Amino acid sequence: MRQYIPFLPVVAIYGTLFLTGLLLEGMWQPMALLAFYGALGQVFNIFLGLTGYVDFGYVAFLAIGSYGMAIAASSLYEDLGWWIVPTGFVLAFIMASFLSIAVGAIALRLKGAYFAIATIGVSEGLRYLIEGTGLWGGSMGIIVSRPLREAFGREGANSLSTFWADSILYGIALVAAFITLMILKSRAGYAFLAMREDEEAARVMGIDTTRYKLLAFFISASLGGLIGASAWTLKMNYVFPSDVFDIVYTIEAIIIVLLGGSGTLLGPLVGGLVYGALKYWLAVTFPGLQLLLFAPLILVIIVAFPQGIIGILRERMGSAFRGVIL
Amino acid sequence: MKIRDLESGYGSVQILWGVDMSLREGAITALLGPNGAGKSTLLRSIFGTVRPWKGSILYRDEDILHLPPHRKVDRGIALVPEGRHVFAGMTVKENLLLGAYRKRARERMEGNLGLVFSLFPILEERQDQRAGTLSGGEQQMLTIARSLMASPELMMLDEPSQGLAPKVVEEVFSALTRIREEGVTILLVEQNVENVLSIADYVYILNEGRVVGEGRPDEIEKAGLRKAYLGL
Repeated sequence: MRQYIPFLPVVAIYGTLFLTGLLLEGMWQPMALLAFYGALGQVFNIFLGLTGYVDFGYVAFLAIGSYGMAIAASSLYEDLGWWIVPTGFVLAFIMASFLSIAVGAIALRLKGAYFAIATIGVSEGLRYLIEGTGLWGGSMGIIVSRPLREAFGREGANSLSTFWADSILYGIALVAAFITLMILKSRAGYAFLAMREDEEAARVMGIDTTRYKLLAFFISASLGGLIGASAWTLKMNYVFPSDVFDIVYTIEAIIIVLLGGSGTLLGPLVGGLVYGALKYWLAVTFPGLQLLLFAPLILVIIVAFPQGIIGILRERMGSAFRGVIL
Repeated sequence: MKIRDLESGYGSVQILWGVDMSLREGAITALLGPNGAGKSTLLRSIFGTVRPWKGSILYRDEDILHLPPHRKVDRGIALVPEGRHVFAGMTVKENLLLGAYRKRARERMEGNLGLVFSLFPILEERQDQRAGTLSGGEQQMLTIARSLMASPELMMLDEPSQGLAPKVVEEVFSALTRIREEGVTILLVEQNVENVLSIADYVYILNEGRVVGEGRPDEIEKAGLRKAYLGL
């Protein structure tokens, strides 16, 4: 049981967000936004945090997942009824998994910067493929409000979009955190640690580095696909390629993970909360100027605290808390 | 281990042009040769971090040419790569335990740890220290010790004396003879000819990707191969 203790703070934070949103008038959407950034950081961290490789095309997995849900909803609603949502999640998972394995099997053989460039290419390439060939509605995207209304009724579709989509996101975030904890506590966790420090030495010790990288890439990507399906398709009821392939989400994910503490359990969640709150606050206080202020602020934080918030906390609190704050 | 007609290289650049070589069990075999002769490439091709093109590597009646590195580790083959690849942020002990990553090695972890500490007492003293704070010589001993944790039957070392003070080089080499006494077969790549000839049981000389000479250290001296190929 001891090994699950680090999971408690995660549950406490998401629980607080969820209840605050539920109980306080007008707080559901802001809390859901924070949960989105927490979840985004959490799933992105499974790859960046564990392997140290930066995937600049990560948003493609959220995008392909959102398409999975949209395709299921728009083409199957007459046959499946409300089953389109579970089917959509399965499809999102499968499509994101396939993409990750196809991309990973090739790109993960590249090192550092080459990997980063290759992944941008995949994400942008996929977007132009969809827009150029008219696949899945091309640049017009897929709008799923009608199928969802038909399957769930007006009331049902409404609560799906304003309540259930966000609630499912909390669930995905918890699952992502739990998987992270399991990996960190297992032998694979040591393998990842060794790879991050020195990939050559890790290989020499008999660690199958390609397999572990592919595993982390796959887990991170498939969970990302579920987020896209829930937080975008179910919540917004539409998918446009220019929105879902927006590189800003990838950059936000990188910032969140580095800000909170890469490779830690709690870091990406805390990073997501701080980032989300900061972005929201700047947009309200300095409307129009937020982007101008945001970049230098983030830069300062990352230069000043390279290990992230959780890294600093762990150092300050000493060994007694090391086992709890992961 | 018997290597036959091994060819290998990087991309389309061929480095090894048909290397033949045999390693005797329990002996130190040294691989000498000028820079760029293909010595490191040969070690990496045997281990699998560079994919060999053709040829065969017979090890315990099995052709292991195309096995990936982790499968080689499972068969008791270890590589100590060039440069000191320690995990700088981890303690000495954590480095050593990671050396026993594969299942086969984990089963013998306790015994191997004792062996390693008896070979390198300094590492036992420093076991809780971060590896990055060790001196160059200690880091080299740690990389050797870490690969011993994998319970190797064949240990290949790529220039373990590189960048070390003469006194430290002697320590490293005397550790190698003690490792040989434990029954481990050693394949040693070196530039440090004097020291190598004093500990090796057999020597191969590699030049431009081919074996150009072989023999016991005294034969190498007599045949003048040492002068011809190594300029010493």
